[in-house]
Amino acid sequence: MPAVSRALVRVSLLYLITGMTFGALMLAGKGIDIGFPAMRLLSGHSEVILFGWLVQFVLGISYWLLPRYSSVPKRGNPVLSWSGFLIFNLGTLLLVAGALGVDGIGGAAARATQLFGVALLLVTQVPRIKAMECPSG
Amino acid sequence: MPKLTRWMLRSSMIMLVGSLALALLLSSSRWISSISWAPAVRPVFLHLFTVGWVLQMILGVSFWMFPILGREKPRGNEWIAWTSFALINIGLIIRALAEPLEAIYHSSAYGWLLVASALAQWIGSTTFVLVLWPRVRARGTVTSARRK
Repeated sequence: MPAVSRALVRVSLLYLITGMTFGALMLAGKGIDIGFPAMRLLSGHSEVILFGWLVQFVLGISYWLLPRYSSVPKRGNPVLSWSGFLIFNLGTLLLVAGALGVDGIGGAAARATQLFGVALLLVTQVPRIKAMECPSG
Repeated sequence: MPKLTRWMLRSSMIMLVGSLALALLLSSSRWISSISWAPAVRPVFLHLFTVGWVLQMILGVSFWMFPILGREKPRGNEWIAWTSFALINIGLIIRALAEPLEAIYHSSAYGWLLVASALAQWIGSTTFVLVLWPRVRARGTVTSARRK
């Protein structure tokens, strides 16, 4: 598993644990009084699970498994991929913080950052969506 | 395909059908007055779909496909993984039964069942992540088991 994929998958698994924690608190809060209004975590829970976990995990696996280029770098420009990983997570963290009520962050700028990160990751992956080359002879 | 993966994929498909059946119920409730309580099952539909189907399918295939650790325990501690699988599914089943009933009757018994469901799903998913974590590695990196 290449380093970019390891980073994407590991971070996505951390988001999964975080999202499941938010979800567990909300579900428990529906049943008993847990001392704070857990349903305020709903927007953050959605961002963490959908983007932090699901989108990032899939991008990490696709980076690993999609057909590779015949020449190096085999999976595209690593600078673009690493930049995409960092910028995507910056945008996602800003969105989660905004969803959890931190004033002044989140919103369109954070979503644009997240989108830019995804675009950088896809730039190296989309051209790899191709038929495998059959060996000649 | 390892046995645990087979069980997880089968379970995920049952959860998919269950979630879509609940979605059908939700869609129908607008026209059938006797099931006016149906909106109480909306969170159940969402989580049978996202946790029961999507997450369980992903975890099951990852358990199968991620790089193995070595010859001794290629996929790590399998009994922890089996326990995680059981906890996730038991938690979802409890949620499916208790959440609509709690929304309708507001009973403390159902409330505590929701706490149990939350704990089961959280422990199950977190421990499964711990089983997968060491397998997020480069191919060919040597584990301590192989060094011995």
